[in-house]
Amino acid sequence: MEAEERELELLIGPQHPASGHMRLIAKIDGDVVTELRPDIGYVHRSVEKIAETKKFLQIIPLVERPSLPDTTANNLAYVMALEKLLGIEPPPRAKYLRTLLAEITRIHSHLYGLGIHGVMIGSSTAYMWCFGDREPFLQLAQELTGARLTYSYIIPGGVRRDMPKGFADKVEKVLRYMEGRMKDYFDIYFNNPVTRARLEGVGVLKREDAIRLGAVGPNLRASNVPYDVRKAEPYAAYPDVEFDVITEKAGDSFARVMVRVREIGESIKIIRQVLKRIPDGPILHENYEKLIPPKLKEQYKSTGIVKFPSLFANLKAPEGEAIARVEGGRGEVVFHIISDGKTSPYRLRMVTPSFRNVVLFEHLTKGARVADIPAIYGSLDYFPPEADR
Amino acid sequence: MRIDELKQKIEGELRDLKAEIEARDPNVVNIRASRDDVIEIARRLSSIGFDHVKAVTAVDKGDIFEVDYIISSYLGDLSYYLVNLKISLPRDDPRAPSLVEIWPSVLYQEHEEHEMMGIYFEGHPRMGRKLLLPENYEGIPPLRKEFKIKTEGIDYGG
Repeated sequence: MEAEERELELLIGPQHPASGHMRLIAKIDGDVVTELRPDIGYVHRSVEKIAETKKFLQIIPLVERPSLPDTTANNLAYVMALEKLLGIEPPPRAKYLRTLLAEITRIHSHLYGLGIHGVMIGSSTAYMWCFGDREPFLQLAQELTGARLTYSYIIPGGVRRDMPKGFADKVEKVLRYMEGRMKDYFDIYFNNPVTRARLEGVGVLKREDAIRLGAVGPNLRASNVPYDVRKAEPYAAYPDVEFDVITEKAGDSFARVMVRVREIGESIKIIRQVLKRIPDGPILHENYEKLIPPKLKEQYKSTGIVKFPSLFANLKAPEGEAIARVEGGRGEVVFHIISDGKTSPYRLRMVTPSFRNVVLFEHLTKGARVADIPAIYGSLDYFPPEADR
Repeated sequence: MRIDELKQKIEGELRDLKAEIEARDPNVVNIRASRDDVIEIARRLSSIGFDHVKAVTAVDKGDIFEVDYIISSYLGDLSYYLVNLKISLPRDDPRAPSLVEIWPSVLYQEHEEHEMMGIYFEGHPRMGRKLLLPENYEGIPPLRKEFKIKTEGIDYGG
């Protein structure tokens, strides 16, 4: 008897199929995906609505939480939009410290993405290595900010803490370690024929499609589009540092992985320049610094740790609107804030890289093999809570 | 290219259409337009190199809704600039033409603003379907101001 020919519907998820709760609804004909639709929203937390009820400062942890492996990008983009409304610029030292944390975060965010991708295509080694090597960077960030992931380090007018003593030496040690490790990664994983076979030529995103669909971050640059917010509209200390915008030509899953790997090298370059050139001076705008009561100011001068001036709690942003963008680990983060002059935003729009990239699932999987779905999914470094917000 | 040069260029492009154009330092050009012209404006912006939309923000302004498209380019000089295309919609008829044909990058964002703010984007292939909200959600689109969320508040004691 001949087998009945028919299209099957394959449900992947929503119980944590890879990097968080989401569902992929695939229509398959034999082993070939004819259509795939991401079903998102399982971890939606109404950030935009809740923001309208929170004070400006309370929104910092709120916008950080959805993008757990890369909280700095959201923290920074939100505060930059707020600073535009307030009309203040942080002092130079604070700008350098922002870049320092942003690049430490970019490295551990890339390692997170590479590790998850590794385990999705069956390499537990890549997973263990990336997560292991992410640890020293988390510890650096913790030493700088006091937290492992949710730093809330960047505040209007500056940053919360100065660099601790001896920090630069510790950073250098970690950077050297990571540079040494990269060779191992290539020997065991990236140049492994099995890895290559799973990723090369799989999920090819053409240059014009990457632009048309509005892809961001390494996924965009892997299709040979040299767009990086750090160059397009430089912020923090990026105008003062030299680095290359990494691109790849192939646009396949391997190219996306390679962009992340090579960007770790660029981040290392940036961090070294930041530590070499960081200027002395205050870490908080003088308008805010002078609000700190004398006793706390003494403590701030001796420890480098800012206790929020109480006036911050009722910070009001003047009427108007502001747009800010930042190049996070996964790509461009955009904040659009509309203020009516009160202590909470009238409307806050938060567009994250994963939300911009979700369209790629449907585009790249058409005609792919079922076994290629995880290879493509992983290569996008997609993080469901970040997309859902 | 400076911001006023870009503004002039856009003014030249849109000369025959009704659009209020204003430059906002340092790199944003606001275009206020009616929904009848928005497709044509989008087409012309796209033809001068604005190749994607970064954000679609729908705003509940009481008597009207406003939809903001934040548009830019991935290539060359234009990538520094943002165009904020704003259209106002009457509260009792919040329909706007979808820009998905011109900029496919709005596919998910228009969808989100549809379910969260109740804006109907005509020509968008996924109107009426849920994106982030639960399948069985019924009621006021949650980003509208009349939708109130309960807040816990802070118990200061005493």
